[in-house]
Amino acid sequence: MSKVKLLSSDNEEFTVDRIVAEKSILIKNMLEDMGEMNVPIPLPNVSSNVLRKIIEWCEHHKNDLYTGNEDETEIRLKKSTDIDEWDQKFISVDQEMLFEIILASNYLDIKPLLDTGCKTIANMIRGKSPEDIRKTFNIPNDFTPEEEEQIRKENEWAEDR
Amino acid sequence: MIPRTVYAPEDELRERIFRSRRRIRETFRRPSNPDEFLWALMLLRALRRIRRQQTNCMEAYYKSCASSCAADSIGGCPLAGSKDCCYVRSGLSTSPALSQLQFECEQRGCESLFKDFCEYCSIMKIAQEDDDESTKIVPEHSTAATAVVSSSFTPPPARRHSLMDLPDELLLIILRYCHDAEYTPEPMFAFTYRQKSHSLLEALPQTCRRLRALLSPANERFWEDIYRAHLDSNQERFPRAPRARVATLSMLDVADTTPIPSSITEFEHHISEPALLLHKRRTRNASPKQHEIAAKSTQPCVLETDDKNANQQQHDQRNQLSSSSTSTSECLAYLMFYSSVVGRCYVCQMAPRILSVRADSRVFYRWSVGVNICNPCLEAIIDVYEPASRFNMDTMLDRLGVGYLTRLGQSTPSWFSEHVQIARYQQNAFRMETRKHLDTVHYMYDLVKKAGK
Repeated sequence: MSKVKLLSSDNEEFTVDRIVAEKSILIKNMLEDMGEMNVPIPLPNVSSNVLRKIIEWCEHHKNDLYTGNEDETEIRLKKSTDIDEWDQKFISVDQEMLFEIILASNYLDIKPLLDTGCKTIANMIRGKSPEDIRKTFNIPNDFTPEEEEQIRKENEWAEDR
Repeated sequence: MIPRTVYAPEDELRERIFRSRRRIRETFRRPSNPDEFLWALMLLRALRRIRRQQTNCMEAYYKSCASSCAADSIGGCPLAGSKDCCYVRSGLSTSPALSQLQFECEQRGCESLFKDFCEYCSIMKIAQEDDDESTKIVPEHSTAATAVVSSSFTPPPARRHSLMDLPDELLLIILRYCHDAEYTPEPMFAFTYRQKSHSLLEALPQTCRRLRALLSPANERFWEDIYRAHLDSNQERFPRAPRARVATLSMLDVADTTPIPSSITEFEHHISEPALLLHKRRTRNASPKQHEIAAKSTQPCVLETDDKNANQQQHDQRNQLSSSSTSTSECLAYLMFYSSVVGRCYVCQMAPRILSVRADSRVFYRWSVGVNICNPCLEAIIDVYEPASRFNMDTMLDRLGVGYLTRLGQSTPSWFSEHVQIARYQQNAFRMETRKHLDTVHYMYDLVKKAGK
C-alpha cells in the first residue's frame, strides 16, 4: 500500500497510508492532481498535535464509506445528537483542542470529523441558558443595557422568578 | 359581558405574582400545617386530572411527549410520579408505617389520597436530590456524548481558540446542529410558565450580538434547512401528523396579524375531540350578540395588528439587534419553523404573531383542551362561553400564583383556562378530603414531617 507524507505547521513529518490520508478531500484532490508525491505535503494550518489526532481519527475511519453529498449531510442533521461511541471518546478533549480539530477538519475538508466536532459543541449548547452558554464558551456579553432590557422584556414570562 | 375590574398597575401585579409563586413553591415543599399539606396534595391531584383529560384528547401526541420529556414540573421540581404513578421510590416506601397507611387508606376508601401522598413523597425526594445537585457542577446536556465531554472540558489557562474565533460558516454548522429534533413543548402548569426553551429560538440569540445576527430571521437559507429538518423529524416521530398542512403554510397564514376568528360558532366544526371548552360551549350557548361583544373586547390586542405602522414598529423593535432589518416576507422560513415548533391555532388556523410579542407563543398550547388556541381566540371563547366561571383574581394569585395573558394594550387580566380548571379541581378536592379524610391527612402530614427530620 502506498504511503503519503504529511508535514505539519511546526515541521513534524507524518507518514500514513494513502487510504488514510485520502479521508481528507483536500489531500485526496491534491494526490489526484499531482500523482505520486515523494515530497511531504505541507499543511501550514495544522499543528503536529492536532494532525496527530486527525490521523488517529482517519486511521479508525479509513474503511467508512462517505460520499460527501448533500443528502448525507441532511440525514446527519436530523440525528444531530448521535455521535459514535469511539468518536465520543476521541473528541473528549479540552475546548482549545476541540476548536483546533474543527478548524483543521474544515481546512482538510474532512466532513464527518467536522460534523462530529460541531455536534459535540451543539450538544454542549443545547438546553443551556444564555448565561450558561456565555460561561461555557467564554463569550463576552456585548449587548448594551438598552438591548439587554429589550431582550429581558421579550422573555419576561420565561423567567422563573 | 361582565364588566372588568380595574386592577393594580401591571408592574405591581407582576411583583405580587412572583411573590405568590415563591411563597407557593415554599409551602409546597415545606408545608407548615396539615391544611397546607392537603393543598399541596390536591394540587397534584388536580394536575393529574388535567393531564388525564388532555391525554384523552391527544393520546398519540401525549405518548410521544411523555417519552421524550420529563413532562411536568412544579415550581422547578420535576414531577416524578406524573405518569399515573405511583408506588414510589421514596425513602418512606419501605417503611412499615407506609404499609400501614396504605392498608388504612384502602379500608377507608381513600386510595386517591394515598396515591397523592405517594406522588408527593416521590417529588419531594427528587426535589431534595435536585437541591443537593445544585451545589455540584451543572450537568451538560444529557447525552452520553456530552457526559464524556463535560468532564474534560475545563477551560485551559491560556486559550487560543474559542467558539467566537470560528468563522461564520463553521458557526452556522454548529447552530444547525443545535436544532433539537426532540423538542416538545412542556405543559404550562400551575406556578410555572416555563416551556423548555429552544436553543435556536431563545437562548442563542440572547447570548451575544454575533449569534443574534447569525440567527436573524432574515437568514433565510439557514432557517430553511432547520425547518426542513424539523419537518422530517416530526414526520418520523408523528407519522400520522398531517405534514401537508404545515408544509403548505403560506404567507397568508403567517400574516403579521392574528385576527379574531370570523365566527366562533364555527369552532364546533373544527374540533371533534371532547374538550372542556366544548363542554362549556354546549351548556352555555352564546348569542351572536355576545360574540360580537366578545370580539370587541379583544380589540386591544387586535388593534395593534390592524395598525400597519404599529406593526412595523414592533417588527423593527424585535429585530433591531440583528445586523439587518427584516420584514415578514424576508423571514418566511423562520416564521414557518417558529410556528411549526410552537403550533398553530386550532380555531383560526393562524400561526401566533411571533415577531412582535414572543409571549404570545408561550401561551399558545392549551393543555386543558389539548389543542393550540391563540390568545384572541381563547379570549373570545372565554368571553363568550364562560364569563361567569372565572375565578376571581385573588383566588388565582393566592392559590396558584398565576399571572394573566400579557398583551399590548391589555390592562386587565384574563386567566388561562387550564389554570382556572386546576384551581377549581384543587379546591373541590380539598373540600372533599377535608370533609371525609382529615384524620388520614393529619397522619400523612406527621409522616412527612418525621421523614423530613
